[in-house]
Amino acid sequence: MRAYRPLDGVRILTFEAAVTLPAATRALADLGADVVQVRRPKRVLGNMIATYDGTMINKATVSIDLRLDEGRALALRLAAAADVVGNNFTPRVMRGFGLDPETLRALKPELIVMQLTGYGMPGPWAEYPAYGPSVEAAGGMNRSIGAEGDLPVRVGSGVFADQLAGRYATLALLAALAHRERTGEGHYIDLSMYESIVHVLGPQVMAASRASDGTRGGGVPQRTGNRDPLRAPQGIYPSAGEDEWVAISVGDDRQWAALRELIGEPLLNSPELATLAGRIERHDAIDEAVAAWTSTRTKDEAAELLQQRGVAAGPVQAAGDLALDPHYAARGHFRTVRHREDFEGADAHPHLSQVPKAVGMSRPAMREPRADGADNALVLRRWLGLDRAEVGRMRRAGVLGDPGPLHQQDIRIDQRGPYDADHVRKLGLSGSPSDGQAGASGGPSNAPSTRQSGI
Amino acid sequence: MLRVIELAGGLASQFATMTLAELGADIVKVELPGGDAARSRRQAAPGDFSFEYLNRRKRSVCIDRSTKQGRKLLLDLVSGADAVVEDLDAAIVRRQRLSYRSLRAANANIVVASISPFGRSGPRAEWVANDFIVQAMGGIVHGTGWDDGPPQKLPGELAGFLAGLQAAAMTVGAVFGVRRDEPGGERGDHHGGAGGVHFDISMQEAVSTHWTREIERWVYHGLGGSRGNRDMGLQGFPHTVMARDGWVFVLALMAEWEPLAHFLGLDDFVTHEWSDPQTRYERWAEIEPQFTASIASRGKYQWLTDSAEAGYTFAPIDDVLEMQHSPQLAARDFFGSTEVDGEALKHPRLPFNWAAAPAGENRAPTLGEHTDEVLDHLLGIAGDERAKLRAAGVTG
Repeated sequence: MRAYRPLDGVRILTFEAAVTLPAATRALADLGADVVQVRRPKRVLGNMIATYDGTMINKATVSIDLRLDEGRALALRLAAAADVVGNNFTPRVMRGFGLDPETLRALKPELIVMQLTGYGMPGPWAEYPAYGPSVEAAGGMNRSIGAEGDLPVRVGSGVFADQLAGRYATLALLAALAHRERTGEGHYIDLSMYESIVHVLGPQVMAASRASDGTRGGGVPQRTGNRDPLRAPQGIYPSAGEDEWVAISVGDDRQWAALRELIGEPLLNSPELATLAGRIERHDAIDEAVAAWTSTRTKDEAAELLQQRGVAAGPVQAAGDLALDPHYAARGHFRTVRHREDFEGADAHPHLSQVPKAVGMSRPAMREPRADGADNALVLRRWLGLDRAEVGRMRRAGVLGDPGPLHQQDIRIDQRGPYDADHVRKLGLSGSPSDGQAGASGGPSNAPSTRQSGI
Repeated sequence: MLRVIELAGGLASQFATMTLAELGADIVKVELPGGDAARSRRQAAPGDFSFEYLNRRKRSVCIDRSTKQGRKLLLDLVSGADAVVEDLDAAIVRRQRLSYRSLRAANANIVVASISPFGRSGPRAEWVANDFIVQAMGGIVHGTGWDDGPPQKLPGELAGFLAGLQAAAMTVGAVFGVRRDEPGGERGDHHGGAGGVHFDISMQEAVSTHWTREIERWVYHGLGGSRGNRDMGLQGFPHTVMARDGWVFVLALMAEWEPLAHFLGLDDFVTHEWSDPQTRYERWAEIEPQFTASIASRGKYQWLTDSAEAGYTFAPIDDVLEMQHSPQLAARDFFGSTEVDGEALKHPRLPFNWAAAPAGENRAPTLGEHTDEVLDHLLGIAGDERAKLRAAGVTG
């Protein structure tokens, strides 16, 4: 089966850091685009493996010293050979290198240029730096999670706004490519991470913009935690084990009858609970009975039993559950990326696909992240026709950096989890995991090698 | 112009087509005679403006696609369109014979984005679910909330919106792929000109991709991660703090302690002794009074500006009304205005600028508002023929 690659041959040059634009260009790389990330030689930004690996897959890297005239000239030549040039630094960074959007747009009218910033350009906050959690807070997200009276609640993902703005950037760049295909025109796109958050809160924004008189749904929506005005009971209930939970949502009276019968708690047979209004009224008491039932079962058992009776329910999945989720496995949502050398004790690791499944085609193949500058010669030959001698000269002149190290640690050893032979076995990988302290071997596992399984 | 047929079962498809309408696509919303189920949401829950937000700029065509003639009208519309976005129940797709194969028979180049809770393959494809269940199963929720309480859901039908956003991007990308493969296109007859494709979009997967980093931390390091609101975790001081006029998010990742402590006015704690987050965490009671008083001494927008000038990334923790008064969003003319019951309500526009004008009127259409227009202009059906279809209940 071939992979779906509508962007085959599309060239994307990207000056990017952290997660947001890297996530966007990663999705485009998964769709077949030729994505080249420009890195600066000997900068110890590093390939912080667990944080950034997911955004570096399927990309090539060149390392160019943009402080040198010749480095900047080389970057401009690459930009002129590209279809798309993007960056997600604060605006002054690219201005400082003479690679600002205006200069790039002047290279050729069909070039698509993206500036992705925390708060968008222009505007009084245009130059302000931001991380994802800053704009989640400013955009209204934290005040929309949890129950009325709670403190603001952060999204439980350090990169939510990054990924979200990355998805909008993917949309914007694909739309710009489609627009160019039809009209021949390029485009300057200014994308705001802040506005990306607000955009997914549209219904709440509309409600808030309407004056409240208490009856017609105006004003800032009340926070309802895990509950819902149209479904009860709905909640997240403790299941057997530590920090294990199951989500249940009773959508109608038939589901309620099924839940009641399954749990068998006489209290729930009260006729007052036969209607939605009655169940909302006594939600706390119902929750107690439901929690008593769920807490003696695993989250998967509880969800299965409810699902068999047509009740909407599911395990609240943690990161490890997702990596091992049999449903995801059946759909190929994770694909194994092989390393040239063992890393963290295994020769390959599974990664999420960043684009949806195209029916009848395989999920995108995945290539390990490349060390900084590992593709200098290849990219300069393919994009600019430079020969080996010229690339060698640029390297000696310090315009191009030498390939850097591929992997660096991104967390302290003492913060690590129990990464051991069992973990590697669960992942279905081969290798010799270290104990994380002194690099001692934990011994080879019996799991089949991914090298042999032909992934 | 891109033309997209929407067959909505839930909100995900409507979010996808709303973003495409903002980009200038002609969205033909094909509704059953009873109307899109989302039309009645506000009746059931008065503060729910989902339908009004998600259906701006669309044309509503009322066709009973369960009838033979209705189905033919729908397929005729498909034959003149670039894409179909749907999130119908799988059983309805089967019963009404609206699978990708049927749609492709009407138009070999059609791009179809199907959105469902778990995707249409795999052992859980038929599980009963709604947005809340999908969020819980997709990750993020497990990390949201407090360490000593249950995980918390994210606002609204976010799983559907994230899947809809994917569907919009994939639809545009696929149409680009189709166009460049056409004779005369950039790649000529590269793939034989038959560029149609069917996306099987899973809301659960869409949620998980926003949790990539946490999943990778488990894959590489075996780290489970605790609930995300552990305020002291990252920096050894709280993130969510009361400023003079409301909450401010105090964030200074990877910042050196001494200049940061100086910036925060923590005059007694500027020394190296306090530079380890673990130390600050353990001895927080000593720092807290000065920290709390310092943050409370300025307004939240002032903190944003002052921190940006110092290279930090503090932000106001606004609610969805306060945020509407942000000077940044005002300067960018970010909010549009749509009419609901004779009243103008504010709504967010796309988070990026766009060259082409958006499609249609900036309001949700009434049921069947554009039936005659679409039948006439797109299918050439007018006069008696159109009247007959209406009389037979095929259209409305």
